[in-house]
Amino acid sequence: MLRYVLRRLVQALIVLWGAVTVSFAVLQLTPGDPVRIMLGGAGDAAAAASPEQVAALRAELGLDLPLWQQYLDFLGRVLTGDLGTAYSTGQPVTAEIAQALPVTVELGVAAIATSVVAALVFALLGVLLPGAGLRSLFQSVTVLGVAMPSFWVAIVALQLFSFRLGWFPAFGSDGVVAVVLPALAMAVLTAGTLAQVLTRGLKDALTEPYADTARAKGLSEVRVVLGHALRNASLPVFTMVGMMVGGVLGGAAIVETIFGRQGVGQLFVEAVRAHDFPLIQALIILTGGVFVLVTLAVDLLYPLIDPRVVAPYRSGRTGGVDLTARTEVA
Amino acid sequence: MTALLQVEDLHVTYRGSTGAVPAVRGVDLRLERGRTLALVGESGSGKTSIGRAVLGLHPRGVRQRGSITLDGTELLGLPAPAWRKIRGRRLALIPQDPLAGLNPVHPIGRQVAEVLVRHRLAKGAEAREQAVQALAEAGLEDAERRYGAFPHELSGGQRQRVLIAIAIVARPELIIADEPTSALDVTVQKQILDRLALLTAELGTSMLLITHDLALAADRADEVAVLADGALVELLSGSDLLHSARTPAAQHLAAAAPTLDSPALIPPPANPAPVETVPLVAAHDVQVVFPGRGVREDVRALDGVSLAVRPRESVGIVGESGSGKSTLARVLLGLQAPTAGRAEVLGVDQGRRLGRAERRAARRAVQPVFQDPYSSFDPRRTIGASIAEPLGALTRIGRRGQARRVAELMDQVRLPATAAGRRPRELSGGQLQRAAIARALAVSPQLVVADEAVSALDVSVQAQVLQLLARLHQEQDLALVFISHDLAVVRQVSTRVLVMRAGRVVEQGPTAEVLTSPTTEYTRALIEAVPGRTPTGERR
Amino acid sequence: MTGTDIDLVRLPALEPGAADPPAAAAESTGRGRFSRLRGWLSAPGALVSAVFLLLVLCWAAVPGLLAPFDPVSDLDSAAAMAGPSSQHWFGTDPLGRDVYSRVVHGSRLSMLAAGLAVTISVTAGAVLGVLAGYVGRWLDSLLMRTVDVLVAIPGLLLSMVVVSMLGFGVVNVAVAVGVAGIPGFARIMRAETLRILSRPYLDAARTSGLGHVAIMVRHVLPNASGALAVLAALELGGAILAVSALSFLGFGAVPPTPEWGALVNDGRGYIASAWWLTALPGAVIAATVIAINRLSREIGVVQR
Repeated sequence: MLRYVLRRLVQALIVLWGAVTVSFAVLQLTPGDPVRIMLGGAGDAAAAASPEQVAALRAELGLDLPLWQQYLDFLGRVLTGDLGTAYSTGQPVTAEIAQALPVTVELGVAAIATSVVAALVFALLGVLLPGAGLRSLFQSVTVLGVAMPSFWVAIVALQLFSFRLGWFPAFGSDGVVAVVLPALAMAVLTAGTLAQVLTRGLKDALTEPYADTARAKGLSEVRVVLGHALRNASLPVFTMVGMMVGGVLGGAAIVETIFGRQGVGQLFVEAVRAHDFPLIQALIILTGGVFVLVTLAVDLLYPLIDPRVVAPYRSGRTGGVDLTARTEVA
Repeated sequence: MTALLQVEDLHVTYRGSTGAVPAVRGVDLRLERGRTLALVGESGSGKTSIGRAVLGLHPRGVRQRGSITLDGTELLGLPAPAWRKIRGRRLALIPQDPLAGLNPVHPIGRQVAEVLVRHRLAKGAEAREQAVQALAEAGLEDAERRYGAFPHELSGGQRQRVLIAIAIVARPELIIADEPTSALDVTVQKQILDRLALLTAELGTSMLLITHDLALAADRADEVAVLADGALVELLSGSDLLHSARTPAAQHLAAAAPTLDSPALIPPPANPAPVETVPLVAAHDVQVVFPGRGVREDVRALDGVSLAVRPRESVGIVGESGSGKSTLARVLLGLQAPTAGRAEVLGVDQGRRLGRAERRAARRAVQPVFQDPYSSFDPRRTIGASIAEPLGALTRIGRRGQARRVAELMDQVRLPATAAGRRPRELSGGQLQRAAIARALAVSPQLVVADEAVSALDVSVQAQVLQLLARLHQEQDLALVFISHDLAVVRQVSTRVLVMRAGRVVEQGPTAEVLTSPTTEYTRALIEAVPGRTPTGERR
Repeated sequence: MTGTDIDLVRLPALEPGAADPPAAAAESTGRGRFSRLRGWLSAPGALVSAVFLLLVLCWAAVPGLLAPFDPVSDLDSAAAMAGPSSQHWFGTDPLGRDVYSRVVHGSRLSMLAAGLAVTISVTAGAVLGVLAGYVGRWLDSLLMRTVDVLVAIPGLLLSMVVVSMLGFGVVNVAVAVGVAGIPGFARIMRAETLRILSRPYLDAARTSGLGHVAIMVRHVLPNASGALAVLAALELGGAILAVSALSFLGFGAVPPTPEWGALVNDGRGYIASAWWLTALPGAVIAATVIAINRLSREIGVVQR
C-alpha cells in the first residue's frame, strides 16, 4: 500500500514538473519574437513598439539570459509562488487568478455534481427500464449530449430560459441563481460522456459471470444492477470524473465567456486574445496542477472502491490462478 | 413418485443476426433426488443452454418451449418474483470461471451471506456465522479469517470453493455445476470434485453436472446424458460411458476422449538417435526471470532447466499452470532469451549475436504450433498468405513456387484447397490448427514445438489433430516437443516425458515408465488426479 | 419469462470455450460482408446520418451550386433580420445576408479545418504511439510521460495556448486542435501496438523469420488500422466542435468569411431578438457531429 502511494506521488510530481516545463517552453517555442507579439497585440502594430520598450520587457521576462538560467529562474519563481505580472492589466498574475478562481470553482462544482447525478439517472434508466424501446431512448439521448457544441447549448439555454421565460439572469456571476444556467450548459457534455461510459460499463458488467452468480442467488435484476454491476461499472467513471475536474477549465472558457462570468476560463480566453504570456504560463501551471492533484486524489481513493489495484499480483483472468494454484497441491 | 427435476421436450432457440439458431431441440431428462446427472457433449451440443434454461437465466428474446419441472412445479414461464424465491434457495449454480464468477469488488464472505439475507434465512451475525460455516464446508481453510478477503487474494481453487459455498449455503435441492473445474489444474480439480461429491452425498443434494470431459463425467455421475447438436444422443450410466456406449455418436465421443488407458499414437522408437548426435534443440541450466514491475515481485518462470531433443524424438512436457512449461517452449523457439544458462539450436548457442544466416537456420529447424488457433493467425490475412509467410522470409522460393508449396502443405494436413483464400474467422478451430501445422511444416523443419496445441479443441477434433501430428512424426521423421497440462494427451504422442513444477523439471524418463512407476510424490498426485482411470480407488 | 431483462447485445456464444463454430456459420461468412452492409443501411439512424453527411460534404465541395445567395455580397437590407421563411430558410442577418447560404459556404472552411486537425492528430499520434509501443524501454517512458503532461492540460486550453503562440486564423486553429489531439491518439496507438504485439500470431510471424519492419508493415499497422479508423472518425466530430469553439471565441475565421463557429459568434449579440442567427447554425454543427458519431459506430461494427 505504501509503495502504491509513493509511486503515485512520484508520478504526480513528474507530471507537475512536466506541466511547469511546458509552460516555460511556451515562451521559447513561440515562432518569432514573443516580446514583439506581446507588444504588438494582434501583430500588425509590432513595428510600432520602440526598441527601448522591447528591451525592457525582454529583461523583465528574463529572455536576455542564457536558456538554462532562464529555466532555473523560472523553476525558482514557480516554487516561491511568484508567477510575474500580467502584461495586459499590470496586476500580479497570482492576484488575477485568486480573484477569478472562486467564480470558476462554484461553476465547476455545480456542473460536475449535475453531470454525475444526470449520468447515474440516465445510465440506470437505460438498463433498468422495462421495454427495449424505452431503454434505447435513454441510451441515445446521451449521444446528443456528446455531440452538441457547448457554446450552442449555452446560447440556446440563454435564449430560452433567460430571454423567453425570464427564469434566470442572463449575465454575471452573482448569487446561486446565476450559476444554474452556465452549470447546466457545461454539464450537458460531461453528463453525456459519463452516461455513455457508465451505460457501457453496466451492460458489460451484466454479462459477466458474476452477474449470473448473483441472479442464481435469487436476486432481482434491480438488485443485480445496484448491488453488483454498478460498483464495477463506476470504476472507469470514477477516473473520468477526476479527469473532468481538470477539464472543467476548458469548458469554463466558453461558458464563462458567454455568460459574462469573471472566472478563470474567461481569464484564459482574454490572456490568449491579448497574448499575455505570463498569464498564459501561470494558467497552464494552474490547470496542470489542478489536474495532477485531482487525479492523485482519485488514484489514492481508488483502492477503496477497487481492492485489486494495490494487490501484489494484479489478477488477470489466468494470472491469478497461475501463480497461486500450486499452493493447493502441496 | 415425481423426479426432482424433469425436463420434457425442451427447445431453446436463440435469435441470431441471420435468423433463429436452435440450441436445444427436444431434450428429455429426469433427475432423481440425491443423484448426479451429467450433461456431456462438445461445444454447440446445447449442454450449457439446458443448464441456463433450468436456472431461468436465458435473457428475454431467447425462445424456450417444452417443460421443466422442479418437484412438480413448472419453471418455464414462471414470473420473475416466483423465480427469485427458487433461485439460490432451491436451485443453485456453480459457474465455470472461478475468477469471473465472483464479484471482484466485494469481500467473499459477504457474497456468500448475501444468499441468506436475500432469502430471509438469516441476517447480521447469524448470516455471517452460517456463511463461514459454508465456506469451511466447501473446504476453504481459515474460513473465519478469510471472510473479509477479496476474490483476487485467493487462488483459483480457493475461489471455486467460495462459489461452492455460495451454492450450498441455503441448502438447495439441486445444484447446477457448469464446467465447475475446467479452469483449474487437475490436482485442484480432483480436490474440488471430491469435496463436492462429499457435500452432495451428505446433504442429499442432487447435481446437474455440465462438462465437456467424458472421463470426468464417467467418474463423477450416476447417469450421463450425451448430447450432440442440441439433441439427446444417449442416456446411460456413468460407468458405461467410456466403454459400453450403444449409439455410434456416443461411442465416437468416448473413443476420442483421451484417458490414461487410451492407446498411444506413437510407439517407442525402434532405433533411437544415438546420444552423441547433435541435439536439435538443447537447454542448459536455463533460467528465466520476469522482473516485477511496481509493486509486483519478480517471477522466476524457469529455474535451472536442462533438456536436449534429438532427431526423430517425441518429447512430452507436462505441468500445471505456473510450472514454466510455456516459457520453456518460448526459449526453445527463440522467442524468449534465457536470463541465465544457454539455449542451443543445432549446436549453435542462441545467446550470442547471431548472423542473419545462423538465425535463419535456427528458425528453419524449429517451428511452432500454438494453443489458440484463432489468435495464432493474423485476422486480416488469408490462410494461404499466413502459411506462405515463413517461405517468403526464410527461403528463396518464388511466388509461384510458394503457391505450389502451400497447396502441397494443405493437402498434407488434409485441408480443402479452397481454405487458402479464406480468413481465419471463416474456418473452424480444428481447421485452423491444421493450417497452423501446415505453416510450421512450410520450411521443412526438423522439430515442431506444440504448446498446448490441442487444449482449445473439442475432443473429436483434438483426436484428429493428434493423429495428424503422429502421422507426420512417423512419415517425415519430424521430431516433436509436445507441451500440455493434460497427461492423458501427452501420453498419446510422447515417448519421453518431462514433468515440470514451479520452473523446474521434477521427473523425466520414458513415458510408460514415468506413468506406471512415478518416483516423485508430485507426479503420482498428477497421475491420480487424471479422471477416467479404470482402476479407480474411490469410484462411487 | 425470466427475471432477467438485459439487452440482447450479448447474443450467444452457444457454448463456452467454443472452438469449432457450427460449419453453417463458417460457410455463410462469405456473404457476411453484403448482409452486414444491407444490415446497416436498413438501420434508419445510420442511413439518415449517411445522407445528411453526404449533403454537408456536397455543401463543402460545391457551395456555390447549393447556396441560393452569395454569403458575403448579397446584401438584402430590406429583408435584414428576418426570421426563417421560404425564401431565406435560416433567416437573414443584420446586414441582410442569407444565413442558410452562409452556413453552406461555412461548411467548407469548417470541414477542411477539422480534416486538417484530424490528419495531424492521427499521423503524429500514430507514429509516436507505434514507436513507444514497439521500441519500448526508455523511448516508451519518455514519450508516454510527455503525453501524460499534455493530457493534464484540457484539450481546448491546449489548443488555445498553441493558437496564442502561432497567431489567430483558421489554419492555425486547425493546427492547434490537431496538436491537442495527438496525446489521445498516441495513447490508443501504443495500446493497440502492445495488444497486437502480445498476440500469438506475432510469435508465429517472428518464428517465420520476419524482421521488425516486415512485422510492423504486415501485421501491426493493418491490425491497428481498424481501431484507428473508428477513433479518427470520432475525432473528426470532436475536431469540428473544437474548431468551431475556437472560432466562436474569435480566434479563427476573420469576418466576413463564413465559418460555422464564427457564424454563431456573429449572432451572439442578437440572441434576445434573432434566435435563428445562433440556433440554426449551431443545430447544423450538432447534427453533423451526431451523424459522424453514428457512422463511426458503424465503422466499428464493419471492422469487427
